[in-house]
Amino acid sequence: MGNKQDVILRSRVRLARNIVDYPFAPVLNTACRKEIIEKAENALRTNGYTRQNDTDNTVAVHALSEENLVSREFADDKELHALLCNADANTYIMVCEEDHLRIQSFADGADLTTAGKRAFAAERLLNEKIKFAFDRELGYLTHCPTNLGTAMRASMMMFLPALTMLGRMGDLKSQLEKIGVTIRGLYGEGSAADAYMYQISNRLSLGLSEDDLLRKIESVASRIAEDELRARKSLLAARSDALTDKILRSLGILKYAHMISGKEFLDCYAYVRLGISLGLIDSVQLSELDKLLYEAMPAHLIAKNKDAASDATLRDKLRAETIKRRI
Amino acid sequence: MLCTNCKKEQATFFYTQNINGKETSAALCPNCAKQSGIGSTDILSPLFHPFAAEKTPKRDNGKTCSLCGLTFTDILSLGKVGCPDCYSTFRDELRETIRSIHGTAKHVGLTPERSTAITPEPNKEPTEEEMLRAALETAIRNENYEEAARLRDRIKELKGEN
Repeated sequence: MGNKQDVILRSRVRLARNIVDYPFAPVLNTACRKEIIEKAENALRTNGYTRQNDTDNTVAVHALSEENLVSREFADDKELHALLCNADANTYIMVCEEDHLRIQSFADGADLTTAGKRAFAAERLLNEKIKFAFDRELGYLTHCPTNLGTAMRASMMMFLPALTMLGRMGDLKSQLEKIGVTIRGLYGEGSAADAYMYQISNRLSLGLSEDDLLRKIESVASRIAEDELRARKSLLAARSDALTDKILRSLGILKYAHMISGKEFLDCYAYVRLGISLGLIDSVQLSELDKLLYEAMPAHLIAKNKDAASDATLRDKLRAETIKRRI
Repeated sequence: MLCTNCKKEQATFFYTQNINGKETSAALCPNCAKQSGIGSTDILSPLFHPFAAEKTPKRDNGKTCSLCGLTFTDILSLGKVGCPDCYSTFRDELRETIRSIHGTAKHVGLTPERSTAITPEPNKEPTEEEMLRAALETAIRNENYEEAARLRDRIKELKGEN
């Protein structure tokens, strides 16, 4: 049936910080951008952080955005910006995104505590060297007023196929809205919930402490995970031949397809993942399957073979080969 | 005045940036402002507008932010502020808007002087009553009194059960 760790794939904490005496990034000129990047590098260089040289390489930076390590906006940005990353590759700092500094830390599974500790460790290093824009009343000052206060987003990536199939997502969404929690598709605002993957996060950041926000998201995610596991039991109890057939056919496609599109891959990936947790598939390791969620995405494939950028057929063939190697 | 970028359309967006004494100015038409990224971030405008109409009939009073040069009218049309100083320059004008977004205008949490470790209690499950109380606060904040009454009744019921 799976467990909470199988429902909650990854935890993330994002902090926005801005530096006093500079306008916000969308109206920042190149000279100021350079100064801000230097300040961030100086604060972090001796602490094991390195500047990633990939931010001018659109394929490499889009590959990072496919893994949700940087935002899509950051990957698309044509202005001067920089990315700093720690040695363990669990904390990424986007410099000159919408805010001057956006710290993102990650932890595997349901572990916001660890993600939070990592993000605040980076924040403390920056705070020692940089004067952040802060107001006693409004907290950390951000370009968008919706991020004021703690300027923190705590989010968890969740796999919710059973709740989706049983038509429960609409209700869940409106319930969460009432308690200030947002649920959206994997790739951010406005995106479809690809592969039954969702992100839940706090909608508001002012008026609750960092600890309280982390605890709130952790406990809400834990409740949703329990609901999802109960819903999976109902799915299994219904013993639908149609569902079993769909799951096993999906495995067949992943194992034997010569070409597969991104959309078809995500569809099959989700059914196989559900099949593993329902005990219908035991020949595929969940950890191997999950690596494909990034490896089979376009920028990752193009990074391996640049001809795939302009050749959709080649991309679909490369995707099929990548999948076969993993499972 | 014509737009300093396309030199065709009438400029409606006037922008001055002063960084460490270096001043740059631009007068842009709505299209060029949007293309430069300045006018493309207006998703919050609807949140600002009701407040603007109600509270600030003569909203500018000639006041501009000394760091980024924006007026309150500029902020209304952008939906976002131009720099950290805008929040203190237009504190009174922005307070109600911030309250309407967050339900409060008072920060609770870390400060730059006290960047303490984050130590959440592991997986503390909120009780049903805590969840209901949180929903009740939101309902009251959103003036959804019907929902609030329902939630209040449910909390009473729960207390009765205990």
